Amino acid sequence: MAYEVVMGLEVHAELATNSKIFCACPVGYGAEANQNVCPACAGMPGLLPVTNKKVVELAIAAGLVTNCKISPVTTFDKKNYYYPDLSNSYQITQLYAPICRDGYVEVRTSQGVKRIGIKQIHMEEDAGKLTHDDTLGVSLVDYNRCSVPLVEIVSKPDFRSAEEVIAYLEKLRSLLRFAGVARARFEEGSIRCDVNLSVREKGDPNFGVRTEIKNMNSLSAIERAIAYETERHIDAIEWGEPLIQETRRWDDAKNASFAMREKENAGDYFYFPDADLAPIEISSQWIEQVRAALPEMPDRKQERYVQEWGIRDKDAALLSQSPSLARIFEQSADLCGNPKEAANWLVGEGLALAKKHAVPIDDLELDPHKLAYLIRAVEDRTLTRVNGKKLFAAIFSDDVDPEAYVKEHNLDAAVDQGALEKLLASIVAENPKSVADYQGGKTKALDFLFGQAMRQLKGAGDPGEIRRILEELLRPQ
Amino acid sequence: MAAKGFCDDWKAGENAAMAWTEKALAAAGADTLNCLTLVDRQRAEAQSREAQRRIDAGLTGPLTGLPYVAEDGIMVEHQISSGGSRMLANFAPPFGAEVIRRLDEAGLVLLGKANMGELKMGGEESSYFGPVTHPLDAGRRSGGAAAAVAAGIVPLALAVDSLGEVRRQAAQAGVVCCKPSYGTVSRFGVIANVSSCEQIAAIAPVVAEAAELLHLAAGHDPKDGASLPQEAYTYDLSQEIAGKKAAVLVDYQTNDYDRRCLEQGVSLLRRAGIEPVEVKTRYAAYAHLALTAIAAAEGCNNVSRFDGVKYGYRAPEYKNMEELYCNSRSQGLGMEVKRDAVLGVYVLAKEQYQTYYYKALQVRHLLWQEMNDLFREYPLVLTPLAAGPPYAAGEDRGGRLSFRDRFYAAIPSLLGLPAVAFSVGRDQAGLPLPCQLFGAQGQDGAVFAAAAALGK
Amino acid sequence: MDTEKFDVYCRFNKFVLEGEEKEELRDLIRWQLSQLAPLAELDCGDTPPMIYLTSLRQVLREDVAEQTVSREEILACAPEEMDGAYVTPRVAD
Repeated sequence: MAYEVVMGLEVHAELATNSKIFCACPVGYGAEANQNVCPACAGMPGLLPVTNKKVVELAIAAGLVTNCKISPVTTFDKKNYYYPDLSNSYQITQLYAPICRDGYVEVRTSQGVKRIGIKQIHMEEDAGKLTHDDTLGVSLVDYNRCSVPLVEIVSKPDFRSAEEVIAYLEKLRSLLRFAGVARARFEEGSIRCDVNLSVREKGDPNFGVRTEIKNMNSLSAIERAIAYETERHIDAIEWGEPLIQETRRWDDAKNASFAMREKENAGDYFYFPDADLAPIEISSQWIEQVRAALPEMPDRKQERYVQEWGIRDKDAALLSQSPSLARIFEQSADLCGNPKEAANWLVGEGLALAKKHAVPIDDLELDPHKLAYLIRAVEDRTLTRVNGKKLFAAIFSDDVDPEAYVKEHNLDAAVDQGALEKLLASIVAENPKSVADYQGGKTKALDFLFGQAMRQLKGAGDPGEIRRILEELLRPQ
Repeated sequence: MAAKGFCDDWKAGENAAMAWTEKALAAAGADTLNCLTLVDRQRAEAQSREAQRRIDAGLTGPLTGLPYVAEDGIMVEHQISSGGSRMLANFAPPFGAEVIRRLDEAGLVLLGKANMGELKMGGEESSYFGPVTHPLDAGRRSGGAAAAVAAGIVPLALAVDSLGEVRRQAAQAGVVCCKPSYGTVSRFGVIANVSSCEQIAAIAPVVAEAAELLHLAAGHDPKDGASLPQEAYTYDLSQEIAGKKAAVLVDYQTNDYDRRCLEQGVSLLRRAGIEPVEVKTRYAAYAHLALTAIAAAEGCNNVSRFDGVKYGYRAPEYKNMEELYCNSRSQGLGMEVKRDAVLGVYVLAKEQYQTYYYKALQVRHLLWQEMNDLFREYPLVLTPLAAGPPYAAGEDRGGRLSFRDRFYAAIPSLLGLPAVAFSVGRDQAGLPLPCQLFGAQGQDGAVFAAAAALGK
Repeated sequence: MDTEKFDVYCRFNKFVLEGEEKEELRDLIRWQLSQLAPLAELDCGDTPPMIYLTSLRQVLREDVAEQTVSREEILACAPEEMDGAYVTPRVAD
């Protein structure tokens, strides 16, 4: 039987603010436990929430880059449940009037371009963090993350494959990062994704029983979780076993999902409006201000790279995937005046090195001035392409000063013609066998001599010129 | 006719703020009513010394140097602020209420904390520190703030007007309670029960003093999102009242006691030149029901943070997290808090949401419209505040009588209206008969002035 | 409120009651609900709910981080603390 998997995503992204959503505590990583905590986010009585304006603006921006309608009036509600990571025993979120609705994101997969619907985006506060000490049998509660602002981006059930899910997440991440809305890094938990998944027979208009999978902290974990859960559903359907609607936790080590604690399956959260937070009015002027402040988005960048700079479509897509990479590319292109070469170097060397050294693209740091110097030097033939690669690697790993580095390592291609000819002549003289081989028709012998020359020149000299001189010297007199 | 309050007595014959504070401290030490949960002698003496310096320098306002008490749910930095609950009996918050800061700044002297119904959810019998004895009848009950003023321990008190109980308690103790419009006084640092409508009120022997206390306490606070933008409030109590009409709500004529209250109230109105007109409303009888449903929902949520993890009471024994929660909350919270919490979850649950909580919000809207229509013709409304005398000892266990009398007090709470509670006479036993006047939101001055014109 | 619901709602509130106390609470809630019956029976049509008592729109705060109370003062209130964290019995993730 042919099955179809149907998925919807709930993506939580921590907003890039200085302070929390309802109190002024700083937001940040690496602080000591409960360092960024005040009476409000420590759940003390008598505190009243006051919303951070930047949170609203970033949520509006999130809505704009995902083609949502922004609500003219938006309100907050309380969601009640007990858990030690929730200091107030309720979470302030938005149920009845979320800030954004009805948007979409276009994703590209092997099947072509697809539009994924966004049901809504709402603002809410994060919970704290628990760590466990199994020898003492205790949990330790840290409220630093409590009340850190989040947007939850709820998609429509539009996904039919893991590939679409991954493409969407990559796209969403990139949009949020470009818009300055969120850091959006899976590895640090600043973006998290829950997958709602059901399976049905192909052609069936009704949805199957839905389960929600949580706790995947990388794209690959999400892929594996989807594969696992899909199979679990299909198995259950085929064996006639009942599936229950529930929340399941992905265990990456065990490569399996498990039904979650009771809290998540309680069903009723006794939502009601938060009377301490009056409605927020969002004027069209305010929306336009946020829109005007948005930087260029990745799709537009890609288009511009191709159309204005003649960059290959594939390279343009790579270069526009991260705000930092796009910035490095655009600045070095401007500085050296040769966008195509800048693209070649960044894609050919930059991304390869990043991959080799396992540096996340978002963390790539390259000084555009240094890259521009390199590109110009190669263009001027004062630096060979081979030595250019050495220099690139040195800039990549040690941020070296290119001029000093070239000098220090004697990479300057401008070798004195006379000296070059003299050196090559001596190499020819020292290798009579190779000369004889060459002249006897084994043209490969030239490569050996060329290699010798390159070794002695340590990369200096124009390879084309060296080959030309060698050929001349080897020509039978 | 301007009423003469305790403040004048307090000042008469004395020339030192420190002496007033000593007098209050002595009275507090001799308190037999159980109206105070805490007396902070050190803080009070330091404040009175500071007040004396101001008086000597001529930098005084009308209340400088006068001692007051704050209900125990109004938090004071590093001082036990229990809200009348075992749950918080050891809780000394690292911050204090905005009103306390304002009154500190104005040079008043905080003597200590007043006993109260547990977390404002409980009635007269619910305080963890025991009930408060009525200042005029040792067999009856009162509220801590009202009793402290009525017994002459302090001339002024701040109390949280949550469900109207402090208005009733003040009027039945023979003192007045002025409750300002919602959004006037910052709720920052006040243990919340019904967030959407409760306000800090002032209790004093006479309206003029309560209004003066509110003047010092009120004003915009960015730490309270529902705080109105107005920076300061002054109440003109000399404004012309005679000739105005007051609606006398006949909805509240249910027995001899409340009829008697209304009769006496009406005669006071007449004497002051205010024209009483009997009016029947459509929704007044639902106000306390709506208020109860909203209070349960909001109160349940507000007390859910008391879980034994971050502060407050933690049960001595537990085997796991669930037991820690259950034992701490079951032992730390009293019966009436549990009642509201369970009721709150009930009215918020999906199955009942429309029937109780949502309906309550609709009633609030209907009553809002009805009252605002009424205010166009009648700027003042008179109602009684109780169906009977102050509760006999033990009589309000479970809060049934508090609920019964919420019927009278509910409208200003539910709609955030300014109100003044006062006594309109005495019953056969010599106990004060309670009434209130209220008016439209923002008409605090007119309402307070009317009560002052009645000689209160 | 039937017994089952009563138990569920007590449980949600983390109240575990026995014997007389449980009976007292159940009676109290039954009584309270009977008092609320007129509200449940009232027909309010499609009147919109009134959640907020003022027509205020929310005044937002600028995004400026500020430490108001020290960590030590906050943790000083904790029933149990270890290495700057609140301590609870071991819970699931």
